[in-house]
Amino acid sequence: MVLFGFSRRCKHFFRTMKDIMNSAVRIFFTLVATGSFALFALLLSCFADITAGNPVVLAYEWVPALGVNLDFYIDGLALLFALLITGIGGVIFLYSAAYFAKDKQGIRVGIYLSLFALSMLGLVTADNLLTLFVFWELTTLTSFFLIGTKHEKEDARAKAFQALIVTGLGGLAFLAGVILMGQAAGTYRISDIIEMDMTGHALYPYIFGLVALGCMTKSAQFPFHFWLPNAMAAPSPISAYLHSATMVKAGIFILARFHPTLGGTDLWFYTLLVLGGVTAVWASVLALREKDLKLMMAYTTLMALGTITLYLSSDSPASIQAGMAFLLVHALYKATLFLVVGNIEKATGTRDWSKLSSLGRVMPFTAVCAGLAALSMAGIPPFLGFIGKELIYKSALTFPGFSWLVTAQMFVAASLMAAIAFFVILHVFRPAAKPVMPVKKLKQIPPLMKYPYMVLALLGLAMGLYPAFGAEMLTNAAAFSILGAVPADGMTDFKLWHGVNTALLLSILTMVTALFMALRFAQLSAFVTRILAWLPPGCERGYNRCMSAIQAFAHLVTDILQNGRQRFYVMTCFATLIALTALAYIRTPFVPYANMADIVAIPWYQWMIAAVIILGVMITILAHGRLLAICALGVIGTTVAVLFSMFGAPDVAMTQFMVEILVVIIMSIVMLRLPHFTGKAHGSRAGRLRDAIVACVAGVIVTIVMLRITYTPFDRSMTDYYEQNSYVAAHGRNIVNVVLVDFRAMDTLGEIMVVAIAGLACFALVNLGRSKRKAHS
Amino acid sequence: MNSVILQAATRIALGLILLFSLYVLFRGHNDPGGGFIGALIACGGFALFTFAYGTARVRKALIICPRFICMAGVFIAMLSGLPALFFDSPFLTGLWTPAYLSGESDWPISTVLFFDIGVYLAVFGTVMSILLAIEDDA
Repeated sequence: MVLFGFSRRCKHFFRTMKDIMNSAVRIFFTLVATGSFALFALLLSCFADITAGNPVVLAYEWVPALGVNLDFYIDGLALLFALLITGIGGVIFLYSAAYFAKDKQGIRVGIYLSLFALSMLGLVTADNLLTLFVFWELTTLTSFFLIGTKHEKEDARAKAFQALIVTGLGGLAFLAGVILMGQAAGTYRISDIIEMDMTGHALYPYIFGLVALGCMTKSAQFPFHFWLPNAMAAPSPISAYLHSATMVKAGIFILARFHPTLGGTDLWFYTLLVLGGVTAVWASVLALREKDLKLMMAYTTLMALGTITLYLSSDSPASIQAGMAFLLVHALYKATLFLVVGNIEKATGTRDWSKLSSLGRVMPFTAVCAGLAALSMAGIPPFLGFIGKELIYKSALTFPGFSWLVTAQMFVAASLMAAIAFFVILHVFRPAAKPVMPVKKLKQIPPLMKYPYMVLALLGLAMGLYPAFGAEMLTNAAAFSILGAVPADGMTDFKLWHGVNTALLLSILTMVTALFMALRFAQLSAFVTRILAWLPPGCERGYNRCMSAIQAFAHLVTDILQNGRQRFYVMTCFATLIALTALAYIRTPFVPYANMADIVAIPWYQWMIAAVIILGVMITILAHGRLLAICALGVIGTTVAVLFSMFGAPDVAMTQFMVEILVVIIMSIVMLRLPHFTGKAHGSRAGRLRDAIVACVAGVIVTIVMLRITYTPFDRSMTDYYEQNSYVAAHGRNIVNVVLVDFRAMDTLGEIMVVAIAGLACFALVNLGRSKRKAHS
Repeated sequence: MNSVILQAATRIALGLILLFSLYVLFRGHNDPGGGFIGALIACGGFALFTFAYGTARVRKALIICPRFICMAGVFIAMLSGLPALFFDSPFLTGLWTPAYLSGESDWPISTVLFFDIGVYLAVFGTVMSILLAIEDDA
């Protein structure tokens, strides 16, 4: 009875602990959300200043030796992104507080998510190319961990890895591009670079190609688009944040940032036009195929990214403005829709639209949010989406050179997107007579997952009703930073009613087409799926082929180089040494290495020591027993230590001596336990001959190198410096030790860490072998 | 190896070796020696001890697990770099006691000394953990 009571109390205790842990997740996310909102407010307070054309500049020295500074520069473009990151971030953190409340990994996800938010913020505000790159890579890394949140699933791991490989590859290209750009510009300060025009520079094609490759992978443009839908393995709030509102827009941001420097050429124009256009249309077609609501949203995100890229290709004010406006519009409604999908999944356990219907009856609140966001996505007045679409059409009609093509592309993409938006409202949320999902099965949605993100949905409406208030100023501020100046004829006003014009007619036509498609969505989806089945496999197949080719190559190399035979490893190392050194010698002119007088002057006892070493070598080679070989090796090492002490290096000699002793001890422990040394271990006669040749040539080469090194006059500046400063500055007379613990203490610290890690690894290896043997016996 | 002569000799030798190893450690700043060499000497002594008495006795004599000693060494070396930060100098800048600098005291107590002790412990712990693991395994 007592025991029973005790165990119950224990259980109660653990439950309380669990509750506290859950609330720890909640507290953590709420704190981060507060911080995010505080930053948002701080940025808003600079709003007037920045839109008036006075960027905020902050500077800290970071690595002055390399010219890497922690400089921050917030102009209109950075402000737009920073507000999105902090504002949407805050809402998503609040949502996550409830979403991850019962998740074991809550805190972990929270830390990664806030790290991600910070690095994203750093990325958009950085004023130094290298800092920019560091933040860029940080977003790649944190997003890898975030996509792989459900890391116990192999599928999620593979998808996270794919995102890492694709964006990491782009990151490398980006690094190269950034360095070239810095070299070409003569500065790494971004605010200086964007004042320049690099299109005439000899390196321009390379800079553009590398930077564009980075942006295309990061923003998932065709043909790298496949990683983004796969990244949907992440939980919904993460997808909402990373894969719709912020990270995937990093590529867009970079394109926009360097638009003044790199834009305006044919290369820029056609690359962005073609890739952006293909991505936009292709993604909106692919979206129809999906039954999973989240994947559908992912493809429409791709469409939006393609559209923005396409609009950044031109340098006409109208298209830049349209691109930036669409970016803002999209971020607002898409984040909302992802969170809506998160709610649907949490409540019903599925994201498959064919299993969902009539959710508006049971989840009225989510339905309202979804409706607001979807209407904005469809571009219905008076939502902000309508204004965005009007701008897109208006600028497409005046698009330089290709207006009909761009207009047609935009029409297809926009109608498909509107069709999806209508479909979500009509099919998933509209109260139907007979819901597919019984009401009782639904899970309760906590309030934090209901209310905060409604702000985003409402903002889409409010900004549409009062466009001149927020959206126009933000968009135009961003557009002005890209354009470099306010265009002479001004920007298009954000208004719901521009009078009857072609753009409006196109809008109406879009609505009608979209509504028609939405009503026939199931058939349309089936049709598209059938068509797509005929087409050859897509880019992801290419990625998989590349990956397996790399693996096959790695296998091949490993099979050759790591065949498990020690003698082969040693031979490879020495053969490489010989080849590289010989190559270096062939390429340099011949000089006499040593004069005979020096060699004759060597005293007799040093010849004796050399003779002992040679004797040791001979014994080691010819010995039949292991112990003898090991001891002979020890003799060689000890004799070398004697040489060191003779030439004034007592520290090195002592170390060498002790190392020699320990090596002999450890080797004998290991070697004596190995199976008996038989003739077979020696390999064939030819093999031994080959080894002997390699060994002799290596010896000759090293001798030549040594003679050459000692022949050139020794540079004493370093020695002199240490001799002069060792006692004065570091209060020590033993220069070797002073160098180790004072002048180069950081290196030593690194070295002892390596020593410690090597020790741990060795310990693990030995124990692994033991546990394996135990398992066998 | 169960040899009475080895065991008896080891008992005396180990003490002397350890004493010498500490001596080498502390004289290191002005004369040949230092943490690295000192640690290797101590390892040599303990290797002898291992042969004479077996690993169980060595572990008992060490009291603390060698892996822990090695990590503690790295930790101490890192800590010894921190005080410099309070004096507005870069991490790991050597600092001496004012008494030594002004010549009042002959004791060269410094952060550098602690750094060297850290090196000593890290190397000692590493080599001992390898040695004991291999000897245990055999």
